[in-house]
Order: sequence, then structure tokens, then C-alpha cells
Amino acid sequence: MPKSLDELIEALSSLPGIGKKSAARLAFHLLKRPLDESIEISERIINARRNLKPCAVCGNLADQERCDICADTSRDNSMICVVEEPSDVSAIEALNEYRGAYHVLGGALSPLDGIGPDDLNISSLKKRIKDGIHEIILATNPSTEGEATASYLYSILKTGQIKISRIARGIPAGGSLEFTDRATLAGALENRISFDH
Amino acid sequence: MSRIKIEAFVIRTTRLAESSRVVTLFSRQAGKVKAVAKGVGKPKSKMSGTVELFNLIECLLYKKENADLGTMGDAAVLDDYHHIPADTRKFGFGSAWCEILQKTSHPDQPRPETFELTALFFKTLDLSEPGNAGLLFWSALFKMLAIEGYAPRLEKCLSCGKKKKDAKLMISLGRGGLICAGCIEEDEDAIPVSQSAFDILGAMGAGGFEDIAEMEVSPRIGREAAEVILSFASYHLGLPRNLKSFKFLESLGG
Ligand SMILES: [Zn+2]
Ligand SMILES: [Zn+2]
Repeated sequence: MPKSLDELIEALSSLPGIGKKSAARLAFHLLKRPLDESIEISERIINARRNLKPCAVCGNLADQERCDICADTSRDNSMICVVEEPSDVSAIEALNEYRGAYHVLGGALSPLDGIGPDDLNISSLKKRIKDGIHEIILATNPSTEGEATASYLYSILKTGQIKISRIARGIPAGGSLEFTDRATLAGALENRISFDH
Repeated sequence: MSRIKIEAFVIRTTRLAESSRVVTLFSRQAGKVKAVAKGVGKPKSKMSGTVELFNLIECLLYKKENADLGTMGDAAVLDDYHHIPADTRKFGFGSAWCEILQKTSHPDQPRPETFELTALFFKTLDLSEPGNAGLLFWSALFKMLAIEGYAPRLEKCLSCGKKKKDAKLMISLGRGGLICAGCIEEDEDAIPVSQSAFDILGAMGAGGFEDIAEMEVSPRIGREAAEVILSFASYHLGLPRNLKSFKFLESLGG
């Protein structure tokens, strides 16, 4: 196999969910299409990498200082939904039901991976809750690490004035928001329960 | 391809492409096992929710001869310890135990007594008051040392046989226990301990977890006892002192 073809397949197969076979199929597809199309795809990847950075307010991906959600004045900023990753924001936004704000932690507590509270986007969350927040929804994944993160956040955020809730256990334990079907995720959000155990 | 049914604790999971994970198990039958749980991140997966840290599970393990990595199937949860992640210090100490099992276990080398110890430790940690997590953890490590034959021997000076009456108590790493001031070698690798820490160590060796969970120990004395146990584990079991979970616990302060 020509070296550059080999390298292209290798690069594509490093993407999640793409095995060697799919990578080869994608590579041959790209090679059959006009050159411009390949240039456009590579430029879009580079642009996304260069322009996207964490939103200064919530940590979601943004190409301005504030992400689209934080910049949207019609949203209810008295409610913050705390998630692990930007992909979780997309999953909840796709439901078209939640109109509050978000906070993206950038992961979950995991001693075995060396991730402690200081490695997550938590200090800015503490600052945010000072002004006019009524409810915080802890929507970390229903995994051991996600549960530990929700419990930790509850322990440092509870004040008595703010309602703190946890998404309901409709999502199977160990699953992730990202892979949960719409109806289940909407139900889990709708039926969130007060976090006071 | 072999197929065996195992009972195991989940001691580590890392995400592999998309929704699959590589899971490290500490099993009763086959010691440390690494296996792929395919598609487990998808809510519809039959294994969904099983391969979570601390869970005691039962599953099938498929393995080609000489392969490092097996494949998991038909997993079911036998016990979860869901109060452990509900408290951050319990979570840290539970994780530290998993890290120790990873570092001190090997494939195809079952450790039945340590398996039982893990079950008992997780169960006690799960139900205990959060403030006792550290004490329970160090007692569990003391008991692991005892299983391996390296528990610190504290009854009397290992050299002259006299009962301890010294103001200055020294515990020798190489000789494996108490050495009195008169018998200690000049450049011997030994840890000085206070009488209180010495008594706590004795109680950890003798008592069950229920008794230990009832003990009142000041943080300073607790740290002294912990230092002895960690030094023994490092000297005799080759356990690294700089576990990631220890750093996590330090970052919590207090
Ligand atoms: Zn934002
Ligand atoms: Zn002596």
C-alpha cells in the first residue's frame, strides 16, 4: 500500500468508533471525491481546533468569549445545569426542553486518574452561584465517578438558599448522558430529585 | 479460547473507543484480570451499570491463550457499595485500595484471603461514618500485610525479647517489628513511634473492622500509624508510596 494512503487510514482509525475497515472506506471515499472537498474538511477541523475555547462563564465550547447559551439573554440564568463534558450540553440542548444555563466541569473526580477538585472547572462554579441562582441541577453521569462528583459538589455548594437537585435514576447506572435516548434523558431531567441524602 | 466464570471486584475502568471500556478486575479465581467490556457505555447494553468502580460482579471471561486482554460477557452485579462515592474521603480511600490491588496483584495468581478482605473492607467502608475512612483503610492494609506474612511484630523486642517499656519505640523495617533502644543498630532502617501510635497499631492488628470503626484516634497519631503501615507495604510488598489516590486525598485538605 502507498505510504500516504497507509498514513491516512492510520490517522482516521485513531478516531473513536472507527476501526481499520471503516477508516479504509472513508479514505477511499475521500480519494474518489474532488480535492476541494478534502481541503474543506481539513480546514474545518483546523478552524474548530484553533477557534474553539472554553466559555469564560460556563466552560462550554465557544468561539467567542461567551458561548451561544451564555450570550442568549432569553435564557433563565437562575438555573444552572452542571455536566461533565460539552457533549452533555449538546445532548440536553437537543431535547429542546431545558431553558436554563449550564456549567461544564471538564470531567469527573477520579483519584485513579489523578483528577481531583482542583483539576475540574469548579472554582468558577462557586463564584457563579453568588448571584441570583435558584437551582443547581447536578447532571454528571450516573457512574461511580459521576456520583462522587455530584456528592462532592453538593457538599461544597449547599447553602440552604439554593435548591440542589440530581437528575433522576432513569438513566441506567454506568451509562452516560451522551448515549442516552431522548425520552429517557428528558424524563431524568424532568423528574430530578432534591439532593439531600 | 478459554471461557471461565469469575467473581471479581472492578478496580479500574478506562474508556476505549466510543462506548467500550477496558476493565481491570481483581478476581477470586484468576487474580488480576484485564478485559474489554464491549459497548458497555450504551444504556441498552446488557452489561450497563456492571463495570463500575468498586462493584463486585460475576461475569464470563473469554481469553485466548497468552493474550493479555480478555473479553467480558454476561456480567451481573453481586454487590455495589454506593455509599462509598457519596463521601469524597471514602471515595478517595476506596480508590486507594483499588490502586493497591492493581499494584500488588498479578494475572493467574489468586489471592483468596485478600479477596475476602476486600469484600469486608468495602462493606465496612460503605456503611461507616465518613470520619473513619482513613482508619479503616490503614487497618485493611495492615491486614493485607498480615496475609502476606509481613505484619509488623509488636509484642516484644525482636532481638532481646524484652517487652516494650521504652520511652522511645523503634519499629525496624528490615527486621519486621519492634526493636528496643538497646538493640537498635545505628544505621538501621527504623521508624520511631509514640506509645499511642504503637497501641493503635496493636489494635489494628488484633481487632476486626467493627472495633476499629469505633476507635477514637487523633489525626496526628493516625498519621504516625499510617506511616509505619505504608513503610512496611512499600518495603515488603513493593508498593509505591506516591499513589495517585493519596495525592487526591491530600488535595482535599484536612
Ligand atoms: Zn457559556
Ligand atoms: Zn531489645
